[in-house]
Amino acid sequence: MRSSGGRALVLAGHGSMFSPESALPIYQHAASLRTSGAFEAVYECFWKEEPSYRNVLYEVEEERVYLVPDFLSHGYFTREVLPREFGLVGPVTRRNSCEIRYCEPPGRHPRMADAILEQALRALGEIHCRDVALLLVAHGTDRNENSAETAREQAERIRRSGRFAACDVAFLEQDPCVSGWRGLVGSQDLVVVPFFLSEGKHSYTDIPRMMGLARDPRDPEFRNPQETEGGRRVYYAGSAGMAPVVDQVILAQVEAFDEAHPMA
Amino acid sequence: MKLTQWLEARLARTPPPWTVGEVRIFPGYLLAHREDAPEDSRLRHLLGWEAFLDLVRFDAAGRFRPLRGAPGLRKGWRRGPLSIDELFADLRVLYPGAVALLAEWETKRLAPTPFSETARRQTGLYEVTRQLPEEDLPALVEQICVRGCLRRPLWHAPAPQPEEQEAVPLLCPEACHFFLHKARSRAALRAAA
Repeated sequence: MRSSGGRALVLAGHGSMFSPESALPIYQHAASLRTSGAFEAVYECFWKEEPSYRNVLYEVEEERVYLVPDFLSHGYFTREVLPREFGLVGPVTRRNSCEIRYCEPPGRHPRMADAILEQALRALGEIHCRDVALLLVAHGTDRNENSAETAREQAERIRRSGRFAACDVAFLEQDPCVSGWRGLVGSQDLVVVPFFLSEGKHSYTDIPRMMGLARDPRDPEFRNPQETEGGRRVYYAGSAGMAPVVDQVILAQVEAFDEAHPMA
Repeated sequence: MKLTQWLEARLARTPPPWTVGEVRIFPGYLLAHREDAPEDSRLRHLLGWEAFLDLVRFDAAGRFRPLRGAPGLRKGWRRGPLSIDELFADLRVLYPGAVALLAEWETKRLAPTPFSETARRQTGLYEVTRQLPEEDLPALVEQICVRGCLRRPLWHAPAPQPEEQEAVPLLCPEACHFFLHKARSRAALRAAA
């Protein structure tokens, strides 16, 4: 790492050794933010792909580094792995002539609700959202409440906006389970938004299967809406993290960090 | 000196074309697979970052390449003419960190991390790599790093002299995730036996 002034954004994603979709949103966010001109340089790095968290700082040449975990909530990676691999000592870490400013994940920002709305509205097309319930489906895990809590907070924002008939949350691995959606969602029609950063097995396979949908989004015959028994119609949206507005949410997290930790 | 300037100066020190991993850089700058000639009109002119990223992330059979240093980059394409900034950006996509790591190495600022230290740092899924017996390491390095990757594992053995025609030797200062994944399987097998 050699300092040449200016500010850089480092987007730290998870990546995968098996699923190429996992890293895609990070590349897309980085490409979009490069053209925004908000930073001298934008770097991607990954836990399971290249460049690694350990190696990326060799490439960074800027004095002020905003490190944004490109995750939807806090958890093992944002609390333990990233701080360890980057050698962080707190929200602000000084290393030689460089300052690393460790921001919150975009999924926790209030504007992430815009990304959920964006995906829902795209799936609905011309359909009026006031007649439709939004079901936000997150992973959830009994080992860490953060993931579920973040999804509930975003759902509450959408509920308060009054744009949908209702807004509920369901999970893959904790209660309420998405397989019980019929009892959970009162409206006849609903739009399902996976609360994941990228598309992948959960959004393409697990959620549609657990909901008992006839087709998943990779099926060439997939169309919105899908009719289920009882005439209920399900609109299936893209994952929240794939919404184009997420790059703006990342910027908002950088701004929020500067407000919370003014420069000396 | 900025890294792009460093790269430009580094290339100027040796005659073209310049080889980096499986690609070759021609004056201009033109970029192509090292087994292709950039003037070949049959080569696909790759434009845009998405097409280039796609080329780098998938092999000719469409299989995902999570390890960029692994041989198997597709042929039949070219990029350029590129500015030095664009060339640098393309090299970052092809071989992330390669230019920066070499610059650090040549200025004696790159300290490789021994595997024992990398393993000791791990928690969760990869914590078991701490139990990998030291005598298992050479065989794993041979299988994963020597036969399966173009990068040189500085963390395991001293760097050999780079090939003369190699403009930017690919260096690896620390066992990567791919290695940890394989080491985990090996350590788990050992523990089970």
